[in-house]
Amino acid sequence: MEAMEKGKKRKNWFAPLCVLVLTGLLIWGLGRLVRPKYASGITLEGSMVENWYAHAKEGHQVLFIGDCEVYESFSPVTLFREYGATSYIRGSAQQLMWQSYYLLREALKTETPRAVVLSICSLRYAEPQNEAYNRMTLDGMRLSREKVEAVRASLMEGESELSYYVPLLRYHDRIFELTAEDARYLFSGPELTYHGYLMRTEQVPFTWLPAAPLLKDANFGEKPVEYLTRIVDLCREKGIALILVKGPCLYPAWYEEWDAWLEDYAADQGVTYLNAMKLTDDMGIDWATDTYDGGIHLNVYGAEKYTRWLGAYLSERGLIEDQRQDPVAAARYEDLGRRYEREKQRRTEGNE
Amino acid sequence: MTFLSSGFLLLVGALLITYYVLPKRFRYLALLAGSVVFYALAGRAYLPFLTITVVTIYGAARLLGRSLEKQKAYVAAHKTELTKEALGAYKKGEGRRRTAIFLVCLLINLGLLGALKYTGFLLSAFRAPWEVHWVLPLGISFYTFQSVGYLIDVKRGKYPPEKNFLRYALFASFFPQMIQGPISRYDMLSKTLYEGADFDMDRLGRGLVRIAWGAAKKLIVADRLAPALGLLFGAEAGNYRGSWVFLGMVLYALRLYADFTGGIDMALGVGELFGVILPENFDRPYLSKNIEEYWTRWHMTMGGWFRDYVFYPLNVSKPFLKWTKRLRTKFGDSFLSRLPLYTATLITWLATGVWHGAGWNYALWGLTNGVVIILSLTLKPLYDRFHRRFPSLKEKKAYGAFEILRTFLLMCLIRLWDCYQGPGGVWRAFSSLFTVFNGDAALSGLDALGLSLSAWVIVLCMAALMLFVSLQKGDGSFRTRYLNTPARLWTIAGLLLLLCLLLGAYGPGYTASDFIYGQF
Repeated sequence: MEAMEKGKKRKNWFAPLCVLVLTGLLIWGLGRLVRPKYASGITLEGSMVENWYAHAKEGHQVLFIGDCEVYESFSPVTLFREYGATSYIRGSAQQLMWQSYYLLREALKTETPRAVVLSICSLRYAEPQNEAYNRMTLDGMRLSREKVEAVRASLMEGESELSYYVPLLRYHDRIFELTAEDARYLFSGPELTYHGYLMRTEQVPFTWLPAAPLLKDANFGEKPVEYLTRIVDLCREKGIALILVKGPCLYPAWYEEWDAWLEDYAADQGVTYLNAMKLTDDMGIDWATDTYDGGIHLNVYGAEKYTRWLGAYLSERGLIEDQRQDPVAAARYEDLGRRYEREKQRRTEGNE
Repeated sequence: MTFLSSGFLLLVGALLITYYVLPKRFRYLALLAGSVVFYALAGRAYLPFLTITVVTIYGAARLLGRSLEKQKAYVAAHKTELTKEALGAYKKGEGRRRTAIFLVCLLINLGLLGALKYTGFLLSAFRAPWEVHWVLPLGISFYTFQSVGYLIDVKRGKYPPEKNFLRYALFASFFPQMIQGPISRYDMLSKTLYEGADFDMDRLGRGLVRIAWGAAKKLIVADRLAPALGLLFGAEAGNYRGSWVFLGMVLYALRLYADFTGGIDMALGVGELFGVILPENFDRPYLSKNIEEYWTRWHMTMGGWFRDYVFYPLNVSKPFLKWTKRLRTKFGDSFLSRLPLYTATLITWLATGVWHGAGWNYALWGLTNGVVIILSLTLKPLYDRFHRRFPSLKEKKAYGAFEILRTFLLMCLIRLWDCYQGPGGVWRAFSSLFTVFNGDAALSGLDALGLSLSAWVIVLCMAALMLFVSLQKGDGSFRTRYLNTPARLWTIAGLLLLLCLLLGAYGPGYTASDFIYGQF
């Protein structure tokens, strides 16, 4: 009798449990289906954060973290070819300082690089700027404590936190706009970068850019500075050399006051700060040929020059070692390099 | 806070666990605590008003109950020794005391409702030089009417008052019915509200299916149509005439039905999770064959309330009975002798209209309903004669369909009061139906209403599904016919949830539309 009761009770739970599991799976699957894949168009950056997971256990000597001033400015292929250093860029469009912190923290769970190169360009943003950029950075993160904290730090007014974990809630209306890309990249997004480097080959020379608006407040916001300090502490705790970089970009303006603040901050914290704007001559950057949008971002030719310069800097300070004789790394970069060259040639020909 | 907010879902989840973990006799306390939390989350400023209603009605009902008991005991004790007149005088005295208590309590509660809901409107109607923006507590019309109904029943001696204050407080504030009803009766609701139901997986599933079905109606039909109706009846309403008005009134009927029945489904579903049976509020109203029938099938708990506590008492009140008698003597069984009945009908419908909101449109909406009902009553002999002449007509399905369509369109027309601003706007819309109909305009301009073709298809498919489910009710409800095994029940619950998540209108780009009836 008791056994029968138990059996009945178990049976009572069976259908709901099955449906719960199936519904959960379908919500997850449909979420993957309707989520934007960023495989074409002008928002390719949206797929980059997710790409890192496939390389998370490769163990890189240098980890680049930040916005377009890293993912369009450094070429891991060049760094390996010239100095034998393995590297990866965890970057995405307008990646805010707190997002950089959580992406770095997540990365450090699986690898401990010798150096972290952090773009400080986003210090200018005290608060999240818009949902689209938030989504491009955060949607690609796998569910973890880092993601939850990154989402909470980034949420804008009116945004639903839950929709960052259950994408179906945010993108359900895309069910009417699905394309073949959505099916093709259902389970893994497109890999459009070269270890996080987003290649641009167009050459649009610098001619004119608007004058910098008057700086109203020379101080950075409290929030980005707090997260910068957390990054400094994290690197210190892990014994990683931290290099703060301001990329060689002519616009938007980077003010003397900010530069001075960072010089002081870096000195206080015992980390390196490099303002590449002041070093473009050393790097050999030519604003007629090395930018794809008139001086705002570097193209592949500019990125290679900048990477060579940074590689020399890191090498001189013993922060990287030559791994070109390591067969695993060499094979990996050979494949990557082939793809990189093919794409560079294809795009360059396309430009002509 | 609405049924579809994450806060509400979390509250229900937490309450479910607490409810079934507690010993049975304490479970109603969990529901009361949940109701207080719900109400405080909806707006802390609302709590004092609800408290006033709960305390005054509870106190007054207890006094009324004591008075009735005292009277009963007195009569029993002195039945033999006192004359009929003396007993009558005693009863009259006690009756007067009860009436005084009742009226004071009624004045406090209806006064509070009236002051909060109508002061602003009255000041602007009479062009007063100042404005007021008082807080309007969530569900005040619903809980006030439910409480007043209880007080009237106690006064009538229908049942004794609830002695336990906390139990009464739960009856007045049970949270699922605070957003848009239904308006429950104490004798019905108390059967399940306090019993502390045992955990039953199947009942849980049924509750979830009902919630998900309500959410699907709300999200897939009502909220998808909301932007289109916003255009048709909004600031630019003057640009949409003729066939647009027709399209608008039909879509509004669909939206209102999906929204209101969706909300009620959710309320009943939440109640079912806790084993509490709330009264049904709809019985396939759009399948009614005349307006009287319609009003016994749409918002049944409100209709029942006005019937039992306004219309009947008014119709059998001494002045009305005297008036009827006088007219009957003078005019026999003619139209004029039914004037008191019609007056009671109009007063009831005026009150119903005013209950819905503070505005001339609501009052006129109520009066229009009353007038149409009176007309149909007056013309009834004519109908009867017509059907005696063509006896087979009533049995024909096509004629039944015609009656249903006629009633549906009539109700759509009456609801124009709900859609347009002021009598002028309603008249312009109504007259354009006959002067500038231009049927092609609405059909060819559907995409101008902000809904994609796929959205229209989804709305129509869901409306068809709603119709299919409604039609099943003829032979027992859809739930009893199709959801009769746990596997089916839970599968439908899961599918409905997916349907809501995938096809519902929510998220950025949509403003979560509050339930239409929530504003009443």
